Amino acid sequence: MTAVAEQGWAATRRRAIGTFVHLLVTDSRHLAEADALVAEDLDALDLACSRFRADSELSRLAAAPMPVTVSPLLAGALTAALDVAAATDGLVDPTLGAALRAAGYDRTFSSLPEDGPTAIRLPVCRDRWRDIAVDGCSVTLPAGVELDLGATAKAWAADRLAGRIAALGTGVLVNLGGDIATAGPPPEGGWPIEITDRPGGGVPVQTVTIESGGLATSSTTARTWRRGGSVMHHILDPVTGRPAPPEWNCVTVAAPTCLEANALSTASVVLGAAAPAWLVARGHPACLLARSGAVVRLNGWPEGPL
Amino acid sequence: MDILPGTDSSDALPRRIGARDGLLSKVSVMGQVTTLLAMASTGIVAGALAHDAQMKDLLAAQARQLSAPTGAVPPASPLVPKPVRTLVIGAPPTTAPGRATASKAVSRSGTTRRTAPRTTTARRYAAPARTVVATAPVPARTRAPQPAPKAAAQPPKAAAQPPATTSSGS
Repeated sequence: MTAVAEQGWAATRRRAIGTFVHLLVTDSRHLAEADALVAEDLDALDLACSRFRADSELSRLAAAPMPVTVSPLLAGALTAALDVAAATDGLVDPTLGAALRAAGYDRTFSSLPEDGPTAIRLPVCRDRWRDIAVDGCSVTLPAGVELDLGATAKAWAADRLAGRIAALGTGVLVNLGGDIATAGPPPEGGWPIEITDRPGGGVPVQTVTIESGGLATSSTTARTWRRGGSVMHHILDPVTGRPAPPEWNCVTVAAPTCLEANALSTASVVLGAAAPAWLVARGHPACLLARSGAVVRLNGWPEGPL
Repeated sequence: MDILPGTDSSDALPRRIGARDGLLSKVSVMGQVTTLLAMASTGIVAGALAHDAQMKDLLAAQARQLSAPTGAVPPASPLVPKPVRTLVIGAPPTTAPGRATASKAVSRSGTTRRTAPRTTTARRYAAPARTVVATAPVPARTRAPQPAPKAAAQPPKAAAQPPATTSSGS
């Protein structure tokens, strides 16, 4: 779906990599080329990094003899995930593929049954990500590790795409399932962004604008399913291997890159009540919506009506 | 002239001051007036008028108020003269030097809100050092009419603001 305005901006919407995709450019003359870049990049990302495709590079990685040579795309996504794990001291861990599968998230979210047998609790092996080696396109995984790059790959891809499209000569906003990256000159007044806890009619939190950088929202209410009657969500605590306690409905962070914003928002969900102090120490604007409905604004996040 | 509300003017200046109150000794009439006004300006009613039951109550209330803990604000005494305001006609308004006016934007609810000053937007993309988040302003259609476009030699204006995109958990 394409929208073109006389004022110069233009937008397209599509679905890809299991979520919604929103592309906005400030110069409508570059829309077609930008949209083609988005389609091409996301197809390649899905083929490289999807946990749900038997033919993806990621799915074949665990069974391959180590070390294994991967595509530059997978090597880049894995490197970004390891950087985030290091920056969050393991709060955002790319080695939780097996735990997610045991919790019931073993296929694309749209295909998940509403309920199923009680989730299996696997023994937790913390910090396995520290044993992963990436040297160019050569990767060595510890035995038994299943990767899940869902926490970081979208944000990393959004940053990449925004940079490539801005090089065409336009301002751009790339929104991959709520992970937002911008590049180039913004429109008058900045890029408006509506924050909600889940897409398609969630609780509206606030509408803000940014003029540069990225913004990401992590939620415990957007992707939920049931196992044995218990509500599960997709952000696991690496200590327990179970969904993190839902202290926050959602956490939104703005940062110089979408990857950094996503890392902080995801880690905040895992941290629960300790998140505000942790975020204050890192200095980036953040907004947290508690389960009680209370809103916490940090580091200069603007006040405003919900 | 009424010194006290509800007091007959003939009683306003007694010839004799009650020595038993211990607040004032014999003074001249003019001295009484001066002292009365001076003590009224500090919130203390002249002892010469203490024989009035109403004034006794007022004395007691004043004493309690003056001994109240820090932070208590005694009610204004009817005897405290109000400051006279001087109106200067024709004086130009002044503002503190060096004070920058913050930009304002009108939120979607219609109330005026302050927004963070806009960062300078580079014409060529470069990785930003800091991200500024501001409350969204009212869409262009509710703003005051914009000035006419400038000459063609000026750089092109930024694109109008598109509708909001959504950042939701996913």
